Amino acid sequence: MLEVKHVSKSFSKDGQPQLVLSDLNLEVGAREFVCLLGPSGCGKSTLLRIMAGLDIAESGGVYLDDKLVKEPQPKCAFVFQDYALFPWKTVLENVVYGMDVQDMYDKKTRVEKAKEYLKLMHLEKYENSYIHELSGGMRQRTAIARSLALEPEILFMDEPFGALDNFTRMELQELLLDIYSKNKLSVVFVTHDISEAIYLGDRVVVMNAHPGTVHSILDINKGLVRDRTSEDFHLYEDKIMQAFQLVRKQEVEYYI
Amino acid sequence: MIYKFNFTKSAKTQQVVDVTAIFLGILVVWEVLTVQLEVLDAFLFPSPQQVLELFIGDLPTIFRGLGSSLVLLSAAYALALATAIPLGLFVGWRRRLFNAVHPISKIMSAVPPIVYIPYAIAILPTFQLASVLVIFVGAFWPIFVSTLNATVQIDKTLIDSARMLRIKERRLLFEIILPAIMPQVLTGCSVGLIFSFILLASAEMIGATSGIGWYVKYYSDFGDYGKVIVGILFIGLVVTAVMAVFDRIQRHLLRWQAKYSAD
Ligand SMILES: Nc1ncnc2c1ncn2[C@@H]1O[C@H](COP(=O)(O)OP(=O)(O)OP(=O)(O)O)[C@@H](O)[C@H]1O
Ligand SMILES: [Mg+2]
Repeated sequence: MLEVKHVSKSFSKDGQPQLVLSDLNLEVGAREFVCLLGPSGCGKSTLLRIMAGLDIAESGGVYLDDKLVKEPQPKCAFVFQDYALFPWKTVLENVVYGMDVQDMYDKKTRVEKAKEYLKLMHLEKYENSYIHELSGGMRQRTAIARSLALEPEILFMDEPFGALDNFTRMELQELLLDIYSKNKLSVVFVTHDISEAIYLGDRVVVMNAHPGTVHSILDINKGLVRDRTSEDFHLYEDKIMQAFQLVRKQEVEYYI
Repeated sequence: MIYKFNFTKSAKTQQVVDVTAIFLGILVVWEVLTVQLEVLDAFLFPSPQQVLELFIGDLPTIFRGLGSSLVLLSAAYALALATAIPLGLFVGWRRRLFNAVHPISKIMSAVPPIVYIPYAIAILPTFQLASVLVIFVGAFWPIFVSTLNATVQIDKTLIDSARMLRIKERRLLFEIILPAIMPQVLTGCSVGLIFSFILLASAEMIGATSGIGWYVKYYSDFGDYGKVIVGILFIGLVVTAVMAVFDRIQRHLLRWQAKYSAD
């Protein structure tokens, strides 16, 4: 279990410290799909990076199975919004490299496994392409394949589908849910798209901005939301909209 | 596709035709001025035919000179590559070290290395050692500075994506940062290579007893300008050939970039 306990973080802006996360608490259970939802600039990426051990909280801390996280942990993978693939490597080499660094399997098995993941992502025809030859959606699929190949127990994803068109995004959402249901992993998924959060998450964490805190947490009944046009789906959407209206009200008060 | 292929092919052919035309034009003007009209002093400006004859006659000497020059050059350049790139990576990666070294490297790299030549000859036992040192210094700074700056400015998400793998520092430096900054490093390497040639020729003109720079200087002292022109043209050919090889290597190393992927 991954626990965020009393995490605060500030960055200096024009020489002034600016509180980005304030006393934030959150739990992510094993095999749970949690979406972090909030307006731009509310600190979603900052929180995700702290949870992954890429950044350190100023006060409070993140605990993985009761151990304080000070650096990236084993069995964790991160999918970045701008892919962060290695452009000097081919698609296949990108997937193999992580396994190589982590000393997983022997060389031959690594290549076989990598090819399996690429096939899962419908990229088998592009194994030997360089990154600049791929479309945005194909790049993000490569990045996901690369992360899955590490057989993570926790997968962190920072707006992974943010830059994609609607068709590609829906296709990748399906693919991700499929992978999630077939593997033993938790997913922490950052998004600012309300329906994406409802469609994917077991729980949706709605965040406030200035400073970032958890506004409310919504449990999603996954059985009800498989259909994006269903009544229940809209019910959840309405709930979140209301939450954001509250967020706005609070901000108004804050500025007055 | 076919259209594009034809287009590039005819553009290439066109270029070859144009370059040959300009080259022939120069030869004709040279021939006319020296032989036909005799407006140029025959002592200072030998004819194309004379130069060609001298070149063929002197080939063995020239190639022996080239041999000794290239030994100096490759020793110094290899040493510069082997030190400047790892040091640039390491210093660029360590923030504190970078802050300390950056101002110093700015001053050091601003000194034109030619000024070291007399001093190097004075303090080192052999001329070979002195020129290797000077060529090394000339090649080192551009390679070091470009590696250093590119490392400092590297895209941080690449680093994060490697850090998530819990990568060791050594692998991070040589398997992630180095390939990522390879374009800038190679730019530094090509500047370093050109500097190497300039310093090689200068060092040889000052203190050598063999080599292509020495050849030019030696025959200038004797007023044998035919051979001087032979030497100059030969140096031009050698540098062009070496840079062409460098270009091939660069294309290979950067084959993952869109602009080099066509071939
Ligand atoms: N490295 C940094 N240095 C200074 N300020 C930062 C840094 N990273 C984030 N911030 C600030 O922290 C705040 C939260 O940033 P963060 O990237 O976490 O937001 P976000 O919720 O992910 O937004 P978005 O949805 O636009 O990605 C912003 O105001 C940003 O300016
Ligand atoms: Mg963000």
